[in-house]
Amino acid sequence: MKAWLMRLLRPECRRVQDLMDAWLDGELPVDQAHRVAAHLADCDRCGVEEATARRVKESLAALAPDLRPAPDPAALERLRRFAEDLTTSD
Amino acid sequence: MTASGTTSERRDLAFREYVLPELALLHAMAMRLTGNPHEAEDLVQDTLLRAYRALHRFDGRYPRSWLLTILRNTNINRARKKRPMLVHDEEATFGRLAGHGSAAREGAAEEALDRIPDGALVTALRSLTDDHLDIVLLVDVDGLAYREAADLLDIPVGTVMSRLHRARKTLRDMLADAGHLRTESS
Repeated sequence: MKAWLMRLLRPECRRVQDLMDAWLDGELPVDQAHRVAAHLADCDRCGVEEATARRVKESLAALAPDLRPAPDPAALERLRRFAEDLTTSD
Repeated sequence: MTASGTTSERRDLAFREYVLPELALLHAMAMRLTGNPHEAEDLVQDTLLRAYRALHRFDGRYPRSWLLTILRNTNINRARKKRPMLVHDEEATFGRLAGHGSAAREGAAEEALDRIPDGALVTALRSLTDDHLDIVLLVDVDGLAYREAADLLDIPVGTVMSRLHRARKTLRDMLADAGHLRTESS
């Protein structure tokens, strides 16, 4: 949301917008999460903002397998054996 | 059983409980920090060794954060870097997406799921500063918690949150300008 638009929001909308990232990422404490959920159920404008932000996050998640370092099963197996050896050689 | 044997057994148990389940994560993050498969494997080996030796000082809380901190410090010592940074090698980060934007998964499936086209997302990601791209990759792509990303990059959680906020705003603005998002202000 643009900065000038943020200034026009009701105080509760502004608070919810500030918490939106942490809400989407599941990083909010329970009490704040309840507060955001209750507001989103009532406020169309914040609901649209949330849906837009969620759409970007979910689209990135769908792309994630191609943006992660390529997994190497052989390297992981060597590391697993290395780790196992540590626990038995001491 | 001797006292030292008991201690050793407890350490082995803790190592299996806290460290072994995170091997894949450590390897992926080592790849992010080094951009090189051989360096990444050596870095994880050093990290495992240090974690094993430091287990008696670990309180059992936030094992991922603890391990990512060891990985970060080990990498700084190995590479003689001042601060941890992800390696943004074009090939490593975007190489597997070559051709996206015109082929592969674009089209019907994306429309059905209301997904933003891959090509548009990649274009928007490329526009981010390295600091902002780091956070989006760690949180949205690798699924790290804020605290874990903060520990890997040695920055406060608040900085993770503010960079993430600005990065996502840039992405949304770019996608809206390109006609892939409708926003109130667009």
